[in-house]
Amino acid sequence: MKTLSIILFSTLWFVSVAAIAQSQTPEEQFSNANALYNEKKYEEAVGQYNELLRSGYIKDEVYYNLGNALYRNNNAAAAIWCYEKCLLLNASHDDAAANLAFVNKTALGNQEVVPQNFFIMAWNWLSAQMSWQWWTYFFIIVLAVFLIVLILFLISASNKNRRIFFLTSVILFVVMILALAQSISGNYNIRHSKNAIVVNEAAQLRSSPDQDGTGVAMIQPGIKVHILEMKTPWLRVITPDGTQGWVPEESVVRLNAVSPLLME
Amino acid sequence: MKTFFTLACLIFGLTISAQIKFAASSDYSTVPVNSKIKVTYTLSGGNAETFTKPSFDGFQVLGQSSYSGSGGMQIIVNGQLVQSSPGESKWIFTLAPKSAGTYTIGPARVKVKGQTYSSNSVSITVTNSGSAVKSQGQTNNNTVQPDKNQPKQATSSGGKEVFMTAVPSKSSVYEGEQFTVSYRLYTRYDISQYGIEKTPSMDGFWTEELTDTKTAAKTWEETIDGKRYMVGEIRKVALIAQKAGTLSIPSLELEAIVQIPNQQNYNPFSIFDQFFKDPFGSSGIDPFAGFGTTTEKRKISSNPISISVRPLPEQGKPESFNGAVGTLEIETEVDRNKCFTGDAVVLRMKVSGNGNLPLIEYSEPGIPESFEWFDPDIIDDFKKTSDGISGTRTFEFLLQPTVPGDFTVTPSAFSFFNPSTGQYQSVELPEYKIKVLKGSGSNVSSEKMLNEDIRHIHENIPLLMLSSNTFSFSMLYWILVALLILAAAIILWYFRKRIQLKANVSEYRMHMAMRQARRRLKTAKTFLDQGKDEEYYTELSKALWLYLTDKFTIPFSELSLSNAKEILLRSNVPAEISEEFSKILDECEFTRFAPAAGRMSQKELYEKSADLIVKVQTHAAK
Repeated sequence: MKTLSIILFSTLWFVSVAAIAQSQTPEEQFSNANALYNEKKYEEAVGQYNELLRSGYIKDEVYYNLGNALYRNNNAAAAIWCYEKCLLLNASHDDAAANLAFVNKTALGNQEVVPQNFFIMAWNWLSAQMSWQWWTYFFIIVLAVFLIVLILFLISASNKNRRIFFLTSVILFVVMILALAQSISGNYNIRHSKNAIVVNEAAQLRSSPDQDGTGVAMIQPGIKVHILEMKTPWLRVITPDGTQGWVPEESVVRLNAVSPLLME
Repeated sequence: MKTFFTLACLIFGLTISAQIKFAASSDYSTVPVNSKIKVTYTLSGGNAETFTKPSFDGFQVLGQSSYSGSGGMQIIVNGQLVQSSPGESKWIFTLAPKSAGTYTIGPARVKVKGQTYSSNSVSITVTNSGSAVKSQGQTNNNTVQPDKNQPKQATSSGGKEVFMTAVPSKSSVYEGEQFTVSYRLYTRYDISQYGIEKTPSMDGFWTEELTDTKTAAKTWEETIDGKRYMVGEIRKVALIAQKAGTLSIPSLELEAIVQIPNQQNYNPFSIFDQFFKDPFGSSGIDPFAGFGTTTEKRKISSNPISISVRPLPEQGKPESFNGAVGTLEIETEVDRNKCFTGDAVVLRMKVSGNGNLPLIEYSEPGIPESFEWFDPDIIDDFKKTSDGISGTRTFEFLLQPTVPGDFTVTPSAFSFFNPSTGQYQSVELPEYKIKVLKGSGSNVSSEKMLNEDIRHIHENIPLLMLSSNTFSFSMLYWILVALLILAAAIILWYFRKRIQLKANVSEYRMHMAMRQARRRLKTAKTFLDQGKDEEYYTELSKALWLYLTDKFTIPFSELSLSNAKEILLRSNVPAEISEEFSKILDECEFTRFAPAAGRMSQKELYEKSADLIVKVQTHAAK
C-alpha cells in the first residue's frame, strides 16, 4: 500500500511537472529560446524554436530566429530552409532575405541562376511587398473602396462624374484581383509549396527514378529545388541552374513542412 | 664560337676609351700589421690634369709611383711589371699599416677636362696576426704581377691554362644587403663551347641572374704570373642575404670544349694580331694553324666562397622598419582628394633606388575604418645592372569609401637600413585628406553588410497564434467579404429605389392626368344633367386646371390664366390649341360667376373641353 502511494505520488508529481512545462506560454518559450540563443546555447535554442513550431505556432519570426540558431549551430542548409520558409510566410521580411543571401553566399558561393521572365519577376516583386496576410487585409480594404466607387458610379447623374467613377472602379477592380491572387497564391504556397531544400547531405541527381540511374549532378545541401513530378519515393526536381533529375524523397525537405529538422 | 673571344676582344679594345672611369683598389682587404699593401688608383678614358691623393691615415706611405700611357704597354714600376691598356693612368701607393684596426682610405680626386672625378673609398682591416685576405674585385682589367714575397695573389692560376673564379663584390654584407657574385673564366686557349653543368644552390640568399644569355659575355684580358689570359664573365648573380651568419656559396661547375694547340707557345692573341697585321690573310703564318689543335672536354669548377653576413643592428631600429635595406627613396600620392561613395581612390607608395627592392613589403597605411581596401597591387620596374638590381617597386592601394564625410589617410612612415652608412633612415610620409560625397551607388553598403555576418535574431515577441486561428481566409474573413458585398448591394438597392420612386411620382401624375380629367368631366356631365349649373362650372374648370398641374407637374398655386398658355406652348402644344385652351379656361371662369351671360351653351362648353384635353394630351405626349 505504501509503495503504491509512492508510485501514485511520484506519477502525480511528474504529471504536474509536465503540466507546468506544458503551461509555459508560447511567448515565454519564444523569449526563453531567444535567451538561449544570446547565451550561445544554439542547440538548445534550436530545440525550443522547433518545439514552438511543432505545437502549431507557425510564425515568420520563429522561423527567422530558428534559422539564425541553426546557422550558428553549423547547419547552414537547414538555416536556408528556415529563411525560405520565413519568406514564404512573410515575403517582406527584409532580415530573412538578407540572411538568406548571406548564408547562400557563404555556404554555396555564387550560384548560377536561370533568368526569369518579366512577368514572373514583377509578380515576385509584388509578393515581396507584404506578407500574404497583409495582402488579404489589403484585399478587403480595396474591395470596400471599390464597392463605394461602384455605387457612386451607378447612382451619379452627371456624365462627367460617371466617367471618373467608372475609370476608378476599373483600376480598383484590377488592384483588388491582384491582391486576391497574391493572397491566395501566398496561402496556397504555404500549404502546397513545390519548392524544397536539400537539407542533410549532398544528393545525387539521377536521370531516372531508380538507384541505378546515371548521375546527372550532385546537389549541395542548401540548394533550393523545384519539384516537377512526384513518384513515391522519388521526386523529379529542377535546380536553380536549370538541371533536372530524380532525387530520393528523403534527401530534400519541402517548404510546406513544419520544420527542416527531421523527427527523431 | 671560335671567334667569340676574338670579336669580343676587338669590341673591348675599341670601346674602353669611350667612358671615364676612376677607381681605387687594394690588393688585400685584410692584412696583418707587419705586411705591405698596395693601393692602386686607375683612371681610364681620359688624361688627368691634376691628381689629389687621399690622406692615408693609419698607414705609412712606403712608396708611390704613377704612370700614364696612351697606348698599350708594359712598364716596370718599383721593380714590378705593370701592364696598361691604352689611355689608362695609374697611381700606385705602397702602404704599411701602423696598428691594428679598420681603416677607410678616402677617395682620391682627379681632374679630367675640367671636371673632377672621385674614386671609391677603400676599406682595409689590419689584424694583429694571421694571413692576408685577398681583396674583392681585385681582378680588374689589369692586374699587378704578384710579389713573390707576399702571400698568394687573389687570382691564382694554379698553373692551369683554363680555370674559373667566383668573385663576390663584397665578402662581408648586412642581412638584406645586395651584392653580386661574378663567375670569370680564365683561359689561354680557345674555347669553342661551354655549358654550365651545375649551378650552386645558394641557400640563405635571394638570387637573381644578371647575365643575359642572349648577349655575349663581357671579356677582357689579364696577365697572371706573366701569362696572358682571356677572361670572360660568364655569369653574374645578384644576391641578397636573408639570414645572418657565415654563408657559403658552393662552386659553379662548367663543361667546356677546349682547343689545346699542339705547339707549346700557342698564343690566343695570335689570331687577333694576325687580323690587324694582315687582314688579307697573306702573311707567312699557316692559315691552317687552327688545325694543329687537340679538342678536349674539360670540367671546370670555380672556387667556393663564403660570405659573412652581419645581422642588422638592433640599435636605432625604427618601429616602422620592416626589412628594407639599400639606398632607397619613397614617394607617395593619392590620385584624388574628393570622391563619391563607391568610387575608388588610389594610394600609391613608390620605393625606388638600389637595394633589396624585390623583397620590400608594404606597411599597412592608416586607412579610415569606413573605407574598404584590399591588399595592394605590386608593380615592379627593375633594371638589371652590373651592380645588381635597381629600379622601383610601387604599391597601389585601392580604397573604396562607403560613407560620406571628411577622412584622412595616413601612410605609415617608411624606414630602411642604409648599409653604406650603417644607419637606419626613416621617412615621414604626408597625410592625405579625402572628402567623400554621397554617391548614387547605394549597393556598396548593402554588400558590406552581406560580407559580415547574419543579422541578429528578432527578440520582440510576435503575436503567437496557432496557425489554425489566423483570420486570413478563415470563415470569419469570408463572412466579412460577403457582408461587405451585401452591404454595398443594400445601399445600392436603397438609392435606386429612391430614384425610381421620384421618377415614378411625376410619371404617375402625368399618366393619371387624363383619367382624372375624364372623371371630373363625367361628374360635370351629371351636374349638367341634374341642372346644377354652379357645381357644373366649378367641376369643369377644376378638371381643366388640375389637368394642367398633373400633366406638367406644376404646383396649382403657380398657375394663372396668364401663364397657362405659355406652359402649353413650352410643351410643344400648337399655338391655336393653346389659344383655344386658354379661351375655354377664361369662359369657364366667366360663366361660373355669371351663368346667364355665357357665350357658349353649357353642352357646347363641355364638349369643347373634352376635345381640347384630348388634343393637348396627344401633342404634349410627343
